[in-house]
Amino acid sequence: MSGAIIIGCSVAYVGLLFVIAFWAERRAKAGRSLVNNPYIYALSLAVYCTAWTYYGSVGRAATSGVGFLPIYLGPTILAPLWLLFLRKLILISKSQRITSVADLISSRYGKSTWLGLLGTVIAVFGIIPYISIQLKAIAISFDILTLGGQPGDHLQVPFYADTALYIAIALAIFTILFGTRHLDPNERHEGLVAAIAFESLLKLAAFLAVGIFVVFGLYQGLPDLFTQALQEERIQRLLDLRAAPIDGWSWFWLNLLSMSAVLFLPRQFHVAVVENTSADHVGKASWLFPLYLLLINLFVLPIAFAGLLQFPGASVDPDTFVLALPLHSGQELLALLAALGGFSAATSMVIVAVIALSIMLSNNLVLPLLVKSQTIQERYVLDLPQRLLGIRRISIVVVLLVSYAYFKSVGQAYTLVSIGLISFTAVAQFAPAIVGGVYWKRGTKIGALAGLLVGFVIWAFTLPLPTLCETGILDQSLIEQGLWGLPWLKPYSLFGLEGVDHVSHSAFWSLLFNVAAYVGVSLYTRPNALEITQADLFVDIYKYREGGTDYDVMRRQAKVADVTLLLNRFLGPVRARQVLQTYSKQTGKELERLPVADAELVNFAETHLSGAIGAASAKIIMASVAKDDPIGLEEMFDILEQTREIMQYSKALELKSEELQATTRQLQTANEQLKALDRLKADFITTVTHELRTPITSIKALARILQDTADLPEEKRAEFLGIIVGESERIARLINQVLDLEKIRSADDGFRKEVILLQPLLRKAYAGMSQLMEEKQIRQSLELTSTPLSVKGDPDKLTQVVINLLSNAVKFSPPGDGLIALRLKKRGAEALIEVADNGIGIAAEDQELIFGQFTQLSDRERGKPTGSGLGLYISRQIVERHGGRLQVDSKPGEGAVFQLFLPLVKK
Amino acid sequence: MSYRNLPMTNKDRYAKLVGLFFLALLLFNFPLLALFGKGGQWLGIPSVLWYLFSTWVVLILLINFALRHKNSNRKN
Amino acid sequence: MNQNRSAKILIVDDEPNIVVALEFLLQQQGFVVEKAYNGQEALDKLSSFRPGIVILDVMMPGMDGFEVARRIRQQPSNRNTQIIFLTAKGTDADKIKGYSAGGEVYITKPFDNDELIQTVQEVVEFG
Repeated sequence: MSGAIIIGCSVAYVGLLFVIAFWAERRAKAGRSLVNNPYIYALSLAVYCTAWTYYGSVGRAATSGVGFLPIYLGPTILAPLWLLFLRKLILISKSQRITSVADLISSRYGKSTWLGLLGTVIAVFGIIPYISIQLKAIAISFDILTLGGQPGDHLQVPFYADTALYIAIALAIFTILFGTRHLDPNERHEGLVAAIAFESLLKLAAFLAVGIFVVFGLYQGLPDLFTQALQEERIQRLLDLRAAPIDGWSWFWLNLLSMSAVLFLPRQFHVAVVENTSADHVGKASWLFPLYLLLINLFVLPIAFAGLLQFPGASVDPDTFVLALPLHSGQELLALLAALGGFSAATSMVIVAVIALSIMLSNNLVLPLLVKSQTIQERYVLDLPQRLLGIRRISIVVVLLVSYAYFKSVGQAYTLVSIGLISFTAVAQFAPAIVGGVYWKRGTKIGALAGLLVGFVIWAFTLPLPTLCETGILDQSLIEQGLWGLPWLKPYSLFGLEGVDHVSHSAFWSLLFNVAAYVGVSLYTRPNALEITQADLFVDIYKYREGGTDYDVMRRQAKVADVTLLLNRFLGPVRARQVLQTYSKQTGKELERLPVADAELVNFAETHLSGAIGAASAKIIMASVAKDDPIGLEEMFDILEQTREIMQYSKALELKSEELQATTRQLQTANEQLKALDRLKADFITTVTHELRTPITSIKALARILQDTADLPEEKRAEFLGIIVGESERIARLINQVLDLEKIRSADDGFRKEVILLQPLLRKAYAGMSQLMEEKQIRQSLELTSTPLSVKGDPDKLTQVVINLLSNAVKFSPPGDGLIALRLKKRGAEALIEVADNGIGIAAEDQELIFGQFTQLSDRERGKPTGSGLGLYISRQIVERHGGRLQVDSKPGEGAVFQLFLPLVKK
Repeated sequence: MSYRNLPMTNKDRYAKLVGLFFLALLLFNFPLLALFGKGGQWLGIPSVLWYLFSTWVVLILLINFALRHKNSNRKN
Repeated sequence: MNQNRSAKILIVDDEPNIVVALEFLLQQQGFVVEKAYNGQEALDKLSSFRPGIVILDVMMPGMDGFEVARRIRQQPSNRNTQIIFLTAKGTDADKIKGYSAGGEVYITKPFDNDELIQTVQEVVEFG
């Protein structure tokens, strides 16, 4: 078969894969995901079956009978637990945005950079042999097809003439195109998964086709094949487990190794966890995947036995039986299909494994270094995604070239399975840290580091190191003499353990020390706060999910220290302490004893933060602490900006509400005033009514007496008539005064404004009153300044005021001993008119009251004086309308001086 | 009400799955395996293959059953 | 009518003109009349004069009529003294206040002479 056809088919096949991937990604973008179902998920898990399975199982079966099976029985045994364990891993990983198996371990143990680094190193060293056997498988299949059934010699040819190198380069390009076209923050590649699933279908179909051809084409069914095979003693021995080269010990260890491999191999973790679209797919996959394994293993023994029958004397490498059998039967097309199946098995493994490794290398090795160096961080922070893709691409090329180098130097000397198992044993070192991390909270970072390191060293010493010796790269004596010549440090019989195969020997010792170191050191070290948080999140993932399916629920947890820090920063230390004390008191929890803030405390703190910075900001800040991401500068800036806006807004609101309050106060005051006015009005009316009723009562009663009593003595009649007249005048006066008041109140226009010379006005008023004063035997005094004083106003009103003041003075003057003085003086720019008497005087507290409506002070002491009680009130109103003041200066018993100030008219 | 109609809790289901795991671990390992690895045949096919593959099929069915039960319950 | 003539009435009002009218009216009917122009004066004259009836103005400066009535009622010796309120305040609330202060009758100003006499006589007879 010409190389061109094979290359052409391979290229066409790869093109088909690209089409499938492209289509899947288009569907994903359109929201109709192709891969979001358990069948595709199970098929993608079948990336577990590599060229090792495809070619190597047959090779293994040809030498150890059913010994090839534990690698597939292990995953099958474990499958019932997937719903518990794998699902938990997926939930944890989704909530923590875990991108690789190294990331998982790093994340669980306090996001340790060192653990991520160590995990990456173990994965890279562990997987490179594995990748190398894929190169080997592809190269050999290529050789067999082109060279007519014989594998080429890749050891002797220079590397530039080696097809395997070009296969490695082609795979690198292929992987770069597949896995690093764009950067997905969740490391999800739907196109890749679709392509992998398709490859899984193809390799199964191709292998079944070869199996059916062998069983039914070369033989007449299984019984025929087995009958012929079992006639040969070397084959019969393979099925006798008592005599087989595989014993119960090795079998058990292979089971165990494959159990860990199916989940913890970087590529398995990638498809099972990182690329998982829904944790609900795990259930169905946990029986679909064993079914796939069953199917792909059905024809392994028949093909192996047929190969052994067809090619006696070890003329053909059993690892190539799958190709050799159809080829030697002249079935070139079937051989090509078989080769394509093998090619798909190898490529799918290489692509996923290398992508998984490149993610680890970039995220857990290169990025931490970049981030550590400030200058580089500053320089590249802007195009980090591009930078990351670059790192990924370089990683891919490096991994594949190193794999090629391993193949070239070591891989060729060993069978596919034996090299694959080296990788399995390496990956098994992850198992204690992961299983412990998911179910045992007490596991610490130092413990995990110790376990991984010890396991890795023992693995390296007992498996890959001797292969280097056996191929002559290192001194052969190491295997026989032991390290530094110490017999208990022989790689294949560490501590003198002999009689077991190399893989179980290595697995036993490495895992024993790994587990012992992990558990022992964990128990003797203390986890830091972040480790405790993460441990809690990992182990109790279901608890955090129970509140709801939202992953946010899980984040409702943080370190007490962080919560305190946030509260301090946003509320101030005093308030923060109060808040935390309140929480302690309410819940009875001692915060010092609570290293991890539970959802309750987080909510409590968030509520209080909301008060300070608004609910949205509080939520963002709390969430960033609760999921333990440090708050980014930009995020912080956003929050502060938002807070500032909210504060401005609330300040504006505050101002508004203050304005409203002011308005309300004004309205209330106005309302009070109105009410008071209303009350005054009501009081006024009541008072006026009373003031009217009183004289009317006298008038009515006396008038009736006059009317009814014919024989009334004349003096009585005269007295009564006098009273009636007086009371009538009283009524008239009251009515006039009320009308006056109304006039004063309603407007200024009742006032004339003319210049009045005060002296003649006062003399006239005084003259009007002097008759009355003489009657009462009151001494009078008129003292007017000679300086003519003029004011502006209504002469009638002012006269009314003066008469009112004088009549008041008359009223309260002691009868027979009264003294009244009317004076006019100049006081600056004002005229001062004084009306003084020597009456009872007015107490200081009453001096304002007398100017109120219907207030008649004298009432208290001796009966009711004549008058309405409106006089002084009206007088003051009039004076104020003239821009003047009316006040009284008095002491009880010493008379009173009413002072009337009026602004002078300037000449 | 019969026992079968009682709703199966998650714990029951998990207990079944864990049981299946240990059952598989036992069945797919020595020494049980050795009982069938004495080179006998049945219908022309080695008994060890009969044993391994039929156990495999039964295990797949049992896992399937355990999960199917869960689904039918969920619908209730 | 003998009763009437012997009955003593104390008139309490700060309006002298009303006192004049009341005094004339009651004396015409044969009552013995004493006058007081404010609350304190009324209480002072009460013990010496010992009237059967007190005609009491409500709106008075200083001690108002209700207060005077209350003080009259406080003294056991005034048990038989009847109080007639005479006021310009004629609302129901004022009347209730008056009755609760111990007044028997409530007459509003301006009153009708005949009605006043009749009321006083009724109080003398049945009060």
